[in-house]
Amino acid sequence: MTTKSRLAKALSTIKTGDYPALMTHVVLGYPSLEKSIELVQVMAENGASIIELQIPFSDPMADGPSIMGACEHALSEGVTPSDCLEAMAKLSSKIETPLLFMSYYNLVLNQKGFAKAASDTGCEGLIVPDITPGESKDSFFTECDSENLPVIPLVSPITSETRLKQIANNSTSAPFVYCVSTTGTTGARDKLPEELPAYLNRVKENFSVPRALGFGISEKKHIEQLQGNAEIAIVGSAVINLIKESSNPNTEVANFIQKLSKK
Amino acid sequence: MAESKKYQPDQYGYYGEYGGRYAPEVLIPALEELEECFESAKKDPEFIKELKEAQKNYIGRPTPLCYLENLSDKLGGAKIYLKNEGLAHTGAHKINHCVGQILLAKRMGKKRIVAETGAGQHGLATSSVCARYGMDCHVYMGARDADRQRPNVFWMETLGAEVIPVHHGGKRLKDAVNAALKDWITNVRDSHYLLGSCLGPHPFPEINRYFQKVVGEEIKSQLVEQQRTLPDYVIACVGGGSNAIGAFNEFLEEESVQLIGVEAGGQGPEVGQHAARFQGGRVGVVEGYKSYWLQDEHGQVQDTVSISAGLDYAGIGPLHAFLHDQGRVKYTSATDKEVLEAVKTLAENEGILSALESAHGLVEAIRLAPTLSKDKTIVVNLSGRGEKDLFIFGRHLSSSSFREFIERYAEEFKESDN
Ligand SMILES: Cc1ncc(COP(=O)(O)O)c(C=O)c1O
Repeated sequence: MTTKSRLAKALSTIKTGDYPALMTHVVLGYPSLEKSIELVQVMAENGASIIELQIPFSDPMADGPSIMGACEHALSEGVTPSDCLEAMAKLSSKIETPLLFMSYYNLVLNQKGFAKAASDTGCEGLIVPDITPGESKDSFFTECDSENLPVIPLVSPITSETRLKQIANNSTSAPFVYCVSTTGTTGARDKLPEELPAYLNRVKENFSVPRALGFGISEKKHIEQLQGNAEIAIVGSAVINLIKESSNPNTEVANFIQKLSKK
Repeated sequence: MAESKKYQPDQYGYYGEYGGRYAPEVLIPALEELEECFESAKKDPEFIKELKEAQKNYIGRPTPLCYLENLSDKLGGAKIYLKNEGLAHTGAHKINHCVGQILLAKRMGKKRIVAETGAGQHGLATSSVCARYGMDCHVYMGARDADRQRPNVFWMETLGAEVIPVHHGGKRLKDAVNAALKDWITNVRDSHYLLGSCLGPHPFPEINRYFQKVVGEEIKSQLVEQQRTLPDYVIACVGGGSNAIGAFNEFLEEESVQLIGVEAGGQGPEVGQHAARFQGGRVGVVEGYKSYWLQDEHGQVQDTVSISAGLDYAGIGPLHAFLHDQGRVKYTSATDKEVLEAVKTLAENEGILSALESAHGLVEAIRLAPTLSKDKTIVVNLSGRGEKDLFIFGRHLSSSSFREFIERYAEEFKESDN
């Protein structure tokens, strides 16, 4: 199987109403480049359906303290975007789980031909929160299109009906839609917002692709609450926090991912 | 004249290739709401009336345009005039866009204000308008800046604002903008981000230009009144770029007027020792806009160095990037050392205390004046007054008596608390 079809295959098995599939996240370079690569393998072996690899940036606008701290640490380890491309290539040849890159637009802009480079390493999609379709004159979206590299659209609870339609129209090749749970940055939270079902229903009316819900998911009960409202649950900061406090992160992350990924 | 098409943004908020709206989806509705509010306010006579009234009676406009006779004579060349924004309420030009934006916030029904500040002048002006218009005020300030501009922290708190020190990154203005953006992302439903310079995602650069352009309009009419000419040069310091845009805007289409922006040369030209974006910066997208950014080869934003917190910033407003590439504005820089010298020169010759930021413009005027004939006129925008820099001047300029005083006062302070 080429890497290009892994994501499609993973998504095709996900049905609305089922227990949500799990999408996990690492910051490449946290706690070190090698260890973050290992963590991706651990996640893949223990039930993650999709994994997001974040390329650390100095000024991560959409990230809360956990991921921001992890990025600062990764940069102090000297991790560069080229290291991240290499890590992606290595991982995509080792594991079957579809992999995405997450980063900020400045790094993409600075790396000439990033879309092609990312695509060549087996990356199956990009999440770049600080550029939105329809708001920019840049060739970023067309470059990704010509590489068949989807840019995952993001929506928020305050995205209007008109904009939901517009975003859906602007991203017809999107494999799924990333629904931000709340107004805010990334970070583990105790509770999911109450208006979530109504919001996710509005998203469903505008998008035919699976809905992935992220920002704030930290426990199994959150994922259970999403059943029927979202097809994918995204866990980021909670894992970073776990790694930070753990003397044996691989084992603890394995247990955590196993628990979250099974009904 | 001020509404020239050539230098206006396109429908996406780009000046040439710079600017734009690189913001997360969650901020797009707020940016659209702000843009609509701004466009309708500009056409509303009631809004304009309220703005004019506040400019006159609250800010104290027009601020004076003062001929620096002693300094001009001493340098023996062009005549130097000073546009004294230091005499505006709260001590700097920042109050111009703060008054404007607080009226927009009121119009949108927002009750909570979030802001960033570098030198503390924008934070001080924001705290003041929040107190006056009954808004809840939260100011982010790099921890390093909060220390070096401590008097402004004290006054902001006295005015009722919450000042939140930012410990991330270089603990400077860039990190404060980042933190303020995150607060806005979180509280966007009820908050207005009162951004403090001509930067950030569209429409912020345009909004602040609109409220700052009064400075250049006054320069023009005051100079015509005083000597019946246009200036030959207008000079301003450039952090994010609001005071410079304010001073330049009226003259953008007057090709005879040469415009010079002065960046922070810090400790010197070596990488990482200054904040001169046009000397080593590269096009990037950070904090919501595309412009020149000081960054490493991979695109990580670099730390900056400047004695002035207000210019110690790795990015520069997008209109400046455009004006730079167009060759309409020339950009130079002044080092920390030159700046301290210029503060002293202005104080001794003219009895005016300049903020460290504004003194960057003075350095350029002092360099330029002797090379020009006596019939030439230079206007320097003195964006702020120097009181906030007491502790920095105290360390660099004064005799040991200031240090002795601080030490003795600290002792007494400690004792009086027990
Ligand atoms: C007195 C003064 N001048 C200039 C600046 C720089 O900002 P800008 O370039 O937006 O005018 C500041 C910012 O804090 C300031 O306080």
